[in-house]
Amino acid sequence: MKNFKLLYTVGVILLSVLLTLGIASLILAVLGADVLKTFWVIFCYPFTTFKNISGVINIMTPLTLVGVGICVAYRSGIMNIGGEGQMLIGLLCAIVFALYSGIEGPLSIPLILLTGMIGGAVWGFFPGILKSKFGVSELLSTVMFNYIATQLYSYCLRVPLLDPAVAGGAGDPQTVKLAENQWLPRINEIIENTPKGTRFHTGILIALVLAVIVYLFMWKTPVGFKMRAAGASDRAARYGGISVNKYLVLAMLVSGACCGLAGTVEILGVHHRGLGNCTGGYGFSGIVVALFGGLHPLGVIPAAFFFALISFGCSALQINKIPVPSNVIDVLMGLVILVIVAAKLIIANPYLMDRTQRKLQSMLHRKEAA
Amino acid sequence: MANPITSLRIDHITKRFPGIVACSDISLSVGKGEVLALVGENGAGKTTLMNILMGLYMPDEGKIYINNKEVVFKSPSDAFAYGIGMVHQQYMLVPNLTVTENIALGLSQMKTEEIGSKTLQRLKKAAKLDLAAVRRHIIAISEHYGLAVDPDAYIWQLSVGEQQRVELVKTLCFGAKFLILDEPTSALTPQETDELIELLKRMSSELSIIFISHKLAEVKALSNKVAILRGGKLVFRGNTADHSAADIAALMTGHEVYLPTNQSKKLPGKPMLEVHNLFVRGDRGNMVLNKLNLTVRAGEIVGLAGVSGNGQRELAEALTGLRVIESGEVLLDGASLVGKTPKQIIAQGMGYVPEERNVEGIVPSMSIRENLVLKDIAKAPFALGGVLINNKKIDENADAMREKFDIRCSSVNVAAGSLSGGNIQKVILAREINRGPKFLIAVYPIRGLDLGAAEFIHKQLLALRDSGVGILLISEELEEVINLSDRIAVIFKGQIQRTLGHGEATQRKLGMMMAGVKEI
Amino acid sequence: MLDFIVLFITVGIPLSSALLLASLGETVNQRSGVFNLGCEGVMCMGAFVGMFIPYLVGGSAKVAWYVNVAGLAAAAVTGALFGLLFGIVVIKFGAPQGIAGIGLQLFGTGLAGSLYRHFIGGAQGVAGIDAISIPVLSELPIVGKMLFSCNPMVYFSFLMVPVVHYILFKTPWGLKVRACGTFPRAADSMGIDVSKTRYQALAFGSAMAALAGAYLSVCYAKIFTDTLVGGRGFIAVALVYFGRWSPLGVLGGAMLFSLAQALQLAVQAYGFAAFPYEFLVMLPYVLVVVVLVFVGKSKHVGPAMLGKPFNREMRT
Repeated sequence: MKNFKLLYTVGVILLSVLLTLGIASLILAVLGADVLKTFWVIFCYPFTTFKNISGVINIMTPLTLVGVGICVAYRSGIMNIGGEGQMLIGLLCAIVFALYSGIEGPLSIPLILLTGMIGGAVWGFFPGILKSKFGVSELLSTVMFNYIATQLYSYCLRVPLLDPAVAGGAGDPQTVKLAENQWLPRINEIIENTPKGTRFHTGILIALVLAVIVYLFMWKTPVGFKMRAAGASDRAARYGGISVNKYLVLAMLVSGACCGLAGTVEILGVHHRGLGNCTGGYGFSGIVVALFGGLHPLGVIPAAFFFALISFGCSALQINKIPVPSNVIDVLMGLVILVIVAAKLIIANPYLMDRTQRKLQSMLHRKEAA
Repeated sequence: MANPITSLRIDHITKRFPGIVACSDISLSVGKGEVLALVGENGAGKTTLMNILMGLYMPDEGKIYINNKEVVFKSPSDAFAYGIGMVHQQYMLVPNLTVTENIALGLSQMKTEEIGSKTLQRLKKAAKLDLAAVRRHIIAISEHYGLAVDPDAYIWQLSVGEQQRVELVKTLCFGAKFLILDEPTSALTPQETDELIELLKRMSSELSIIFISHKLAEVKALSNKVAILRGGKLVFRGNTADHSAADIAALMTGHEVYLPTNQSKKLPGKPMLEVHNLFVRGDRGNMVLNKLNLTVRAGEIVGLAGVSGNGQRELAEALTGLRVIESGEVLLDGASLVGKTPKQIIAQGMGYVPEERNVEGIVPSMSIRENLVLKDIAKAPFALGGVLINNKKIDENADAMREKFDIRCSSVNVAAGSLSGGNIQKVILAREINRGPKFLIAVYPIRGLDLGAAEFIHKQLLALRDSGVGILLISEELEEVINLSDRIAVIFKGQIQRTLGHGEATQRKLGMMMAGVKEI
Repeated sequence: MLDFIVLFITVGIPLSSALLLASLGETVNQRSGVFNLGCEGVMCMGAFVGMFIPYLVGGSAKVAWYVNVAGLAAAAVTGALFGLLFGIVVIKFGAPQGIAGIGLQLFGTGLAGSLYRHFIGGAQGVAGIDAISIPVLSELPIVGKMLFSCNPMVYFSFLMVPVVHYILFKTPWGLKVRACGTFPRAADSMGIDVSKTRYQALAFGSAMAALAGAYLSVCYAKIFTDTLVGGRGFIAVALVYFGRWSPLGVLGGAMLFSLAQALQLAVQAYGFAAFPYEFLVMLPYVLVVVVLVFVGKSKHVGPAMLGKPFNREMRT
């Protein structure tokens, strides 16, 4: 019986992987790509050079940060799809602070990061309070707040923060560059003998540390315990004297702060200035990462690496002369979500397992009889 | 339904669910005009068996015969077509549709070719568009059987008793000649129950009835045959008249039953919980508690008897801070609870065993050890300095509780939701008692539990009483209330009807008072 | 001032059609108990398929009317298929609908964008379906231009309001749909196949969403871009809550939202450049949040079991 459960679980996972690969191959074939070569570019090409690997890790950094933030929210019973907006507002606050506070030098970096976290937390606070006070579904409010953030950000970029160099329509709106001593150091500035000439920055260390801190917070402190209890069963938590609404808002604050930090790290590590599209859609893909990581902060780390890998691979398709649009990354992610959520439920369904077991047994019996 | 049902036979039915065999090799038969009582404890397999008969579940093995011909029901509409109808324990009425719409819904599902009666065939067509025709049919049926219903009312506007009448009318409107009733009296007052039994007796001249119950008085009053299920097996079949209620009870439980009773002579202490002129609103916004007054002393069990829906749930929630108190005063050991949060009230020494243990008492996906410290996680010794969880202490606590409260589990690390009802209740009770409460509210503490667990829970409650804790026991099982309580308060329409001493209360007296009769 | 109002309503009505179609579809979904947050993805697929058929036949040149209609029909079928796909995940396996919806959204938008780039590419549009002027009525002053010179699909979308209302509240199927969304166990006990009803509702709702997308690409913008749908799918879902699951309420929501959007376009057209347009673009979204705060929370209106999977054997 116990063995069958293992067999069943492994079987379902294997089938899901095969199904995902099958559908993905089909779509790639329709798009006219050489399927095997495409998979090679997606899964293997990123490992071919140090530059590629550092590219993967630079993508992994914001994905980890957002993913961890989503975990906190989800574990506390609130589905945060406002990561994009929280990233934007976080990085906007960080840029304003970096440009106008007059604080420079290495000490300014933690302060800028903190500002970014506060910005994101504020943007997470609104949907949280709307849900706890007025019962507004966070699935809708966070999406609305994404749009509002996008407009706020694009206004700030276009008017008050506009780089004079591109004023008057000379290019896409952007801010001026941050002072160089406000940038996150590159890896090769810290570790000797690493190849130079990549954008490999130290944000990944921040991401890994945050994942561990959030893990400790959620699993080793009473506050985290209460948040998880509230998320697992709001009624039982309420009956147990836990103020579900309070922890729900707290969860959105923490979640927003993580997303805000993700945005800020992108700015300080990669772009060094505010640009039109600097969230890279990580606010959304972070959700996939969180799910793939089993909604556990430490599980998010490998999940983020995996998605960074295929994300980098998909963006490298064109250079490798594979005529597939880079949107294909969304298709793959969507597919993975749909398959994961279904597979999870199939594994967790004792009735289905029972029936499968009996069916298999009767099939075996028939074979033996024959 | 070409011919009326003259006999229905269930032949060697087996149905398995993961981990259990719900029905094991059960055979039964019912003839025309017979009333069969299907008796058994919770979880004996009665409802599962009837759901198979209705086509809701497919049996793993076994067959069903009607008039000696095998039938296979894949959906309730197949069963309807043969004139079988069921009134479920939880009423199957859609709250935001009217009575007429609810009935039209079922009629529109019936298969025309299998409907014998011309009226029904016409109705089936009418259900497509013409609600007025369905409405006329409802009125005709309700007049014929003397079942008053308002066809235009929305279900959510109706009381429990009214909803039950709608259920009966609905089943009859589908042309049922064979009725299955799943614990039809569980939400009714004793008087409503009597009326229902009279009605069913009258109807049994025209219909066959299978009647699920564990209330033996009803079984004796109504049925002419009885079948007893225990643990998914048929253990007895016979004529009702040949056996006493006690015989049936013994067969039902498999052993003689001795639940502990309150025999202590210790005098109760000072007032521990005082409720003065309490007003509380229900979910629909109407006042559910109307000027309720109640006092429970230290070292005393006060049983709150009443038909469910008379404000018990709201009272428990108001006392624990989960529901807003409109006006009135509540004192716990002299300190007011009004306007306090659940957290504050828990800190003041309130313990609570809630009604729905699976969703209110425990967090099902969390482990047993975590559930045992749900209310104390932020306090020493479970949290170091209030910031870091001390897993060692939590484990020690869990092991001690498992031992002391006989929680049967493979490990304290398994999800609490995977335990049986009795063990879940033990986890809750362990947590609440271990916290050293001043007062405990226990709502339906043994509902749905097997007798072994019930006995254990009752013993714990009595021991807690003897240690000087005040207990408010909310229950609709009169036997439980009479056995355990020092005093019994009867709640009716949000007020305490009267309070009786331990010796004064009899089942009959309580039944009358629960129905609203004040002086007896 | 009158000109300004006329302009802003004339712009607003065509804007509302896509939202209206998608929200009406989502209303039926949600009434049956399924919450499709992936509406956006289905709309994108509809938008692509809708224009792909006329593009295949005639490229950017004008094609016969029935080719365009075939495009719309193909879009609806694609939408229905996507709905059924989603149904397998959330109805058959009972997956959490919010997350699965995000998956469907990513899948649909990504696939539509990829297919567009592969099969069409560049910025090639179609001639699409043009607005038609109703004789006589369109000659009327003011209202003529506002109401009677619209695209046929605009008329269709408004016609769908009473149609969906009739389906939901006056037909046996609508009765079934509402029962499945409120109390599936009761529906089941009366012999109604809850899963089947939900699949049907999902297919219908998603076909409507895809039509909404096709309206955008074939009738409104006459071109496909990655940002064509631009979040309308999410707005459509929000409007269903806004409209309290009633087609008339949804109509009100769609009009309010579109007029707020049109206001922004009209203001820009009138060249009040000094006012930052971003804040006007933001306005409809803020409006939705504000209204969501204030809509009534009556328990007995909507589908009580929205988002809850139904499994006869799972006793909860």
